[in-house]
Amino acid sequence: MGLGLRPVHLAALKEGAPGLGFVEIIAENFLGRSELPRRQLRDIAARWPIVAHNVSLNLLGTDPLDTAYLRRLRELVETHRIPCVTDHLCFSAAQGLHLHDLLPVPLSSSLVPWAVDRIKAVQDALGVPFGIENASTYLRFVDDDLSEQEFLRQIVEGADCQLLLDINNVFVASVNHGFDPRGFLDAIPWERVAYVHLAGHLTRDDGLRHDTHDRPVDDEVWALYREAWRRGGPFPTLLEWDDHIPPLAAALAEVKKAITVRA
Amino acid sequence: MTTSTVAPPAWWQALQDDFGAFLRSPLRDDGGRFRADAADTAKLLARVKDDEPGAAARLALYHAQYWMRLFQVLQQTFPRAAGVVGPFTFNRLASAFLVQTPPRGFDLADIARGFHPALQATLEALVTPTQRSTAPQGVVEESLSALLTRVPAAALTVPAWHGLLSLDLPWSMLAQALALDEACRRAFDAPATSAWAIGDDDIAAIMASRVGVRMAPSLSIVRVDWDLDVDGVMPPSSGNAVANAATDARATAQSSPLRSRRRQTARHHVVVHRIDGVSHGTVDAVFARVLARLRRERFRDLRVHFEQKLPTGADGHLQQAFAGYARRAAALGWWIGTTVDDEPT
Repeated sequence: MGLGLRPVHLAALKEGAPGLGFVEIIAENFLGRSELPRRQLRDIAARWPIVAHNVSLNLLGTDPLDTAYLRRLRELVETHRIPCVTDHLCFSAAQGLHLHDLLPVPLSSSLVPWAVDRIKAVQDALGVPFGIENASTYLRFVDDDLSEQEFLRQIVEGADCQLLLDINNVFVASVNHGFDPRGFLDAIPWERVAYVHLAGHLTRDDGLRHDTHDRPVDDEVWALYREAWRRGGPFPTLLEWDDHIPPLAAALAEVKKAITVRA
Repeated sequence: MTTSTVAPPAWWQALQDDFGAFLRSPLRDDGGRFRADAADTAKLLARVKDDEPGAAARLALYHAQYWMRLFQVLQQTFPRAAGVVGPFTFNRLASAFLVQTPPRGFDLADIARGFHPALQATLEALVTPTQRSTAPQGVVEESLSALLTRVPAAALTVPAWHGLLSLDLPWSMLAQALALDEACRRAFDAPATSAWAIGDDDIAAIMASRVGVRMAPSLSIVRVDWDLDVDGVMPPSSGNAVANAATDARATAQSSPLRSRRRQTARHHVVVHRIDGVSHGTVDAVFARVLARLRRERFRDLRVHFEQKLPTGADGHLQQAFAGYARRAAALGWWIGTTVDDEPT
């Protein structure tokens, strides 16, 4: 069982976190100018295994990969012996400007070679296994000629990389784009799944599901998690909670629900 | 890193460029709320599958997310300034700044780096010294309006600046709030320092001007005349800010500016990055002057300054007071050692 590391939990983590098996960091929070987050991370890394999750690699973007950023990331990986790094299958910058979002990409077979090439370059730069996460999306494009699961599968196999499967994102996308999430799970190459993400999302008045990470996991997402476990379990499970974050004990209780759900 | 041998499809580059330009276009200022319904979406909508309902609303979600996230970072980094002018006005300032200075790096915290100098310089240029000293009501309205209207009209859709900027506060309050927020931001970025176990010999050497004082590189001293206490002195270091900023109601809700009052006496805030985090404390005016002057001078220069103001025979009192200041400054990590260079740090 894992939990996304959030500063609000740092003090409580010092007192211990029963059942917590690993911690996921948002790598960008530890690559900036300030040394304070890196200092705080040392204490965490001494107690729990750490995996690095990124939001700014701009994997499918057309801007050049940021080599300085990759160097800093590699230093972080080596310092804390981080065994696995992930980012999202999206673009997050254009024309040299960062957009600081996980933006949707056309599910086009013509983009697969570009994605594969970029992921291989990232893996090469980091020197540790790299994985891609399926993102929550609100748009599909006229350029799409593949299903999302087929797009993902072709890329992870082409790049020979891992998959960070976000169950909440599968569900959010399935509602927003009208596909069967169970069919999505059927197509997952489970041997490549490094771990899975869970998180809460918002249902808007217009029915759109918005990936907000600000509440407990939705019951329908738990049901999908159970389906995932049946198809590909066992796998490590990690909870993300990014806004209206509850106390550590409550967050841990939420992720431990997974044990009951999949039983 | 391996060199890419694959080129991205040209249509993909064009689509990204269009998407980025769309996101960076300012939200519509609706007199109290920002709305994501003004941008030209025709180009993008032509690329979106038409079998999904509400494509324009879905695009608007991305548009709002981009701006709310950046607003939130600036609000968290400048909490006192945001409190002084209120979140909505603050976001208008942020929007003006970000249109001119869009994010260029992966680190969200970097977007705040130029905000203080940009706003401060503009205010400095706009407010005459006379206005500053008397701080008349109306100066801030004039200053902020001028700043915002410097942004090209095409880049911002703002119906009536003056009606929205009815700020009943003096210029110095905003300037001091900005300065204190900026001091905390800079301290966060600066190296941390530990307490210094200063000894009597060190104090004696400083007072004999054989050595200077080495200040913590993160140290800032900010004079504040206003009651600006708001929670949070830390720059943003949240979890996944890319996920969490989208629904922050604080960023859009109209709320009143902070109703502050001028203190009877000024407070001097000392901000520093210690091993246990960014901290700030307050000192009296004399201690603040000691800290500021020893940054660039030896004690002998400070002594001359104080001796001119002290009654005859008060030298012992000065020494005792200085020793107390020195011990406190060292214990709190404001002073980290001595320097024998000509110029103290």
